[in-house]
Amino acid sequence: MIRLAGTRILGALAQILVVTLLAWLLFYVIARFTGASPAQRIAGKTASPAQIALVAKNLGLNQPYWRQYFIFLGRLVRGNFGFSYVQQRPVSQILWPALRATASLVLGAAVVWLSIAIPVGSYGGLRPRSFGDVAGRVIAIVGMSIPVFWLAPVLSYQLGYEPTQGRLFGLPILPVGTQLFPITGYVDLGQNPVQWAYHLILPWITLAIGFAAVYIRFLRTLTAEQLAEDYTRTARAKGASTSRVLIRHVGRNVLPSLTVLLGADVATALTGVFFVETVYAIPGIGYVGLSAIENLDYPVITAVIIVAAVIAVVANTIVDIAHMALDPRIRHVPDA
Amino acid sequence: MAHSSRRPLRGPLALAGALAVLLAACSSAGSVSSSPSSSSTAKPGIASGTLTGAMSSGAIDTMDPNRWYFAVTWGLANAMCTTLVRYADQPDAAGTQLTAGTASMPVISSDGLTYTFTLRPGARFSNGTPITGQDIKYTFMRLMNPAIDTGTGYYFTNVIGAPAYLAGKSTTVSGIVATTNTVTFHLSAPDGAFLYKAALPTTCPVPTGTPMKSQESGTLEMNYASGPYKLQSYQPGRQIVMVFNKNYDQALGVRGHVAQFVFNIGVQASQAALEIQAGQLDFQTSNLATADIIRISHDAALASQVHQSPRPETTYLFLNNEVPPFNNIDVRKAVNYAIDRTAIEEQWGGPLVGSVTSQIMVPGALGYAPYTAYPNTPNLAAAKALMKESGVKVPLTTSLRAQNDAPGFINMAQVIKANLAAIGINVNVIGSPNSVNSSYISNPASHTPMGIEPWSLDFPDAEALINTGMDPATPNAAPNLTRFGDPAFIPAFNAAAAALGTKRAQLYEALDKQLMTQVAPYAPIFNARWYDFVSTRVGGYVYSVAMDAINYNTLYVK
Repeated sequence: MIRLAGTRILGALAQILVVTLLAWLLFYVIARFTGASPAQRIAGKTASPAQIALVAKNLGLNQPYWRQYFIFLGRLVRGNFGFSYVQQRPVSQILWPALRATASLVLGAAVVWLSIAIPVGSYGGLRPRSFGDVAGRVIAIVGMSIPVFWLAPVLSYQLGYEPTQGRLFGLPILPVGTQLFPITGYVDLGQNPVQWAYHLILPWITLAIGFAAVYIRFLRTLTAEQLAEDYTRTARAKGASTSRVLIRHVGRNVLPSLTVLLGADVATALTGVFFVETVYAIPGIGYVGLSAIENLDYPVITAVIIVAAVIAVVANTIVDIAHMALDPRIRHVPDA
Repeated sequence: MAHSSRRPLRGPLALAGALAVLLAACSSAGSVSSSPSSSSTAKPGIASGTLTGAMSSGAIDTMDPNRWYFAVTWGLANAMCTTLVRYADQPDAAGTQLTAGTASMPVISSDGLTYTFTLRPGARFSNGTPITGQDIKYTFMRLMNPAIDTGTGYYFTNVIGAPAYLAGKSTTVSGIVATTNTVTFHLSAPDGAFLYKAALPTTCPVPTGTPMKSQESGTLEMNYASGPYKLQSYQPGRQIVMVFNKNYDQALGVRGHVAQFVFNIGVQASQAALEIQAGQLDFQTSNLATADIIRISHDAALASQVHQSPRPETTYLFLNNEVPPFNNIDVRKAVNYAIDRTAIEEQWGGPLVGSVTSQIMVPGALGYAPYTAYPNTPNLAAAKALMKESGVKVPLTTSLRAQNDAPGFINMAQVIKANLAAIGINVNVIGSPNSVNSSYISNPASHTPMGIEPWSLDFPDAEALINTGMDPATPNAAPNLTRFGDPAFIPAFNAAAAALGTKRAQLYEALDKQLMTQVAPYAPIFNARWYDFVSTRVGGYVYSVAMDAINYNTLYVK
């Protein structure tokens, strides 16, 4: 197991290197084709060509691409993402707080979607075609059909703004001025944990609904499949309770597949929660990336791309190792 | 940092418990980061209370006072800086009048070549240090320093010694002479807009010795603010807190009535409007989104909270005068006749958000006299006749660039595409984010045939649009998107720029008409309006036309 995990980690490091190189190259190729110039952006609209050239020189943008690339790689190896053109401070100082905010959003949302999907999905698998199962499936279809860019402003409006006007889903049942949830805003966990969670409830729900829908269907199918297996019938025949069958037997077999899906989804969400962050004003990675694009802040854009790529590789590695730990069959597959 | 649970069956219980605690905790509390203070019994003249504002994600371009260029940072500059002369804290055109700032109004020599400013005795930085003439000279040198300049250094090329300094060929500007309490500018040619330029926010005083390298931490605004407010804290991308500056000299009139402004950064305009309506926010620094303008303007209950004003801005279709077919005057005129300005503006939001125009100058700025050069709706007969006269073979294909990360631009481009198809010009619309688009079209080597751009004036004078945006002497300058370079117009441009007062206004009014009727360098479309929606707690609202932003110095908490 340790040897396999070590091999997987080494493979991941190689992947990170390749992905980093490709991400950087891809970005520069795209930047070159668009013809956009950060020096022009920074020098201002009335700048002369000489001033733009001077800014480009100061930023090192007049160097050949291959040299810029190796300078960048040399810094990256030392954990240095470079210096923001616009904010004039190390990119890492911009990136890490943003990563914390995004992680707060995504990991909290994962707890929410699992908290919804596990009981609903398991119940559906346990009692197929029951009222609860049909209701769960309808909810799942609706949840999967709702785009986040629509859901985020609607939830913010219905649960953030409407209560302040004394309404809840259009019904005048609240005192005017009720603040059920904040419309936007973010508070750091270290600053105030209660306010942190309070400000993240709506973003968590927004992000979780779509994922919960997928997980409900996934868990329902897996649970139903496992319940039809001989080992569960044996367990039941031996007098095990339903909860024991679900947790000790079905759960152990569903967990590895769930872990794989969860790892991939968390990685996707960490780098793709742009809409949720924008609507709720959460200063996460998506927000940082957007600001950087608005200002052509190349070092920050590059760092965001690389971090996204690294998150994907690391998440996949963790999932693979967890899968090995949870499912002995994976460990014993030759050349696994 | 949150931690994901790997024991999901316990999740619902834990979540339910947490939710109950949170809801109980928050039932009476507001948001730490986004709720305005409830202490609000302030009256004009007394700095008290807190107002909370929202900014969009890219609103802050820089925190170095000599580099500020975005409208939002100019709004902050107006609060934290006092330039040599400054704009009056008045609405509309009255707000474009200059008044004494750090210095008294200057003594101008009869030939218009020497401006002598005497610093007022009370002029000091927020740390109590007096502002000296040497500080002012250093400030101007710093803003013109190639390592700092964000483009406003260009406006001081008339100062003797500035061109060499701007080019990095000199270490000082000989035309600026300073003593402890005076600073004198010697110009190489008369400059009718020099006082406007001396009021640019980038001339915000900084102390002698400030590094000639961009200072982005906010330290300068914390210790060396010179306006009614100073910076208390700055978290990039998160929050700005601005507080009353007790060291500000109020000798010329009371400015600043709010104890503290909190700006939350990264709030979307529509979300901010909802928060204002909910009483959780007091104002936002962005113009209201078009959808919100329509929604809020039709709600009578909110009428007293909505403020609107013409902006010193024009949105136009630039036509590259060096690239076929727009290197032909008749084709450019034909385009001006063929486009449906009314329909294009509808894509932006219609008459509520702007006024259709076919002239260069914008309302509220010196040099503006309204006239109509081309119709608001197409005159296809005239357009086709001009195309025929031009000798240009049609159909032809060209491209139009516009930004695609703000609503309206691509829609406007599609209307133009349909309009020009009627005169045989097929248009490919190319959209890209504003950062990419503006950088691309500013580069003369890109030879962009045409595009839609808004242009905001740096100061309320025709020079900031006509000379800066289409100086025929510099067709390859970045802002000259039309690449207009007709040498016959150079004397008229220079004469207008050097003139003063009424003569200046007349020359620019005439130049505007000559340009549009004789050579039509571009196709003006509309002049936008500024909309602010503020909470019921906000008093003393004034939109600063010169800064294109809320004037924080007049606000108070009701």
